[in-house]
Amino acid sequence: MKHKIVKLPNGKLVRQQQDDLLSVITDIDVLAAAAFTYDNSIESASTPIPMNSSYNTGENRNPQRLAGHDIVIIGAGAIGSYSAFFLAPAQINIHLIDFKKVQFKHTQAGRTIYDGSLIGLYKVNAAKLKIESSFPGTKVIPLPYNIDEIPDIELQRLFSRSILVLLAFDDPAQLIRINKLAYPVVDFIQAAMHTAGLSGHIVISIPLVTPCLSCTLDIKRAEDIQRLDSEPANSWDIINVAQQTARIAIEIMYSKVTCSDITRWDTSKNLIYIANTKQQLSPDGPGLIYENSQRRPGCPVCNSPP
Amino acid sequence: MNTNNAITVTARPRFATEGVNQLTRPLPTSPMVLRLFVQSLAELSRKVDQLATRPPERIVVKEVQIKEVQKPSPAAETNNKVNRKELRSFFD
Repeated sequence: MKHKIVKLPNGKLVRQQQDDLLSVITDIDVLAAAAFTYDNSIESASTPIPMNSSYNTGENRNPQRLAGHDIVIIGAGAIGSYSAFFLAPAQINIHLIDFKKVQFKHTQAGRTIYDGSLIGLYKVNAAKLKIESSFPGTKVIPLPYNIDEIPDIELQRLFSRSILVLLAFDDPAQLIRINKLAYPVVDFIQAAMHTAGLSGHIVISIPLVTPCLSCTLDIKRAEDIQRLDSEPANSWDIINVAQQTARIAIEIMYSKVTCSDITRWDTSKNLIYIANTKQQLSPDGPGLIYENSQRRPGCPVCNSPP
Repeated sequence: MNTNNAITVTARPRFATEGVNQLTRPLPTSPMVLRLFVQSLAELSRKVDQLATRPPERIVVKEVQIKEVQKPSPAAETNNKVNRKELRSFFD
């Protein structure tokens, strides 16, 4: 067999070997490419490659450290499904909650990760098929339930054994409820898109450290939230927000698992505004704006007396 | 015997043979203080009598329109630029 010499991103030359067995059993090009292994014996540089996987992802950010940890994603719509997909390379266990089924409209123009073959399935089951086939090692635990039917105690148990909860749904009453339930027990982030997908936001909630979701968005009751159903939006804008959400989520999870500091952003700022266009807040074009928030006096969730 | 210990300032003696240096303030029983006290009581009594015997006054309640206090939200108190109210309309 002929071995190809390839140059890695760090400048090292290695001999590429293809695993024939894996190539046969995987007819998908991406999986076949992932099956390549590198023979490190002919490295020209003196420093060894720390990992035996296909690519050196960096000593400080080894995503395999997250493997096997549990996260909860509530909502398997546009943001929820794409965020789950972008989190999946970490080989985590994703508890996905959504009671709706994939419809034709969900498969159009890349609005979600679902394709036409998945129409009629529960979104959570469709996501399981899609994600687990793309990222072996990642487990999706489908929970096809309406969030308001799950009792508080069950949700809190689920939250407390997870390292992160991602809220990607827009039911106002349930957002208020989940904020109250999740704030004391687990780190969570809420991601959403605004009108026409021109912008989005990510709210980060860390128990006792940041203000809660209600204080950050200045929401007092469910009526303060307006949900936008079937809002027209550019799929690439949705994907942008989902990617940012996944990056923030990975950083928080990595920090918790490895007990390392978060260095990617200023953690005193728990609201990330994502501009997808040139606008007043981001006059030069798409960008991110990080802001801090204050606890409201007397907030029963994050500012209650001890 | 001086029983007014609360107003007695004592100094610690430097030598064993030195007596305790006691500084006492004037006691309220001195004639001057009593005279002032009686005068104050008389003045108070006179004022109370004046109030008791005054003619009844009609109390006018002036209606004042209470403006709703526009308290800025905590989020607005910082230098933040993002309007949080705009973030409340969203989809998933």
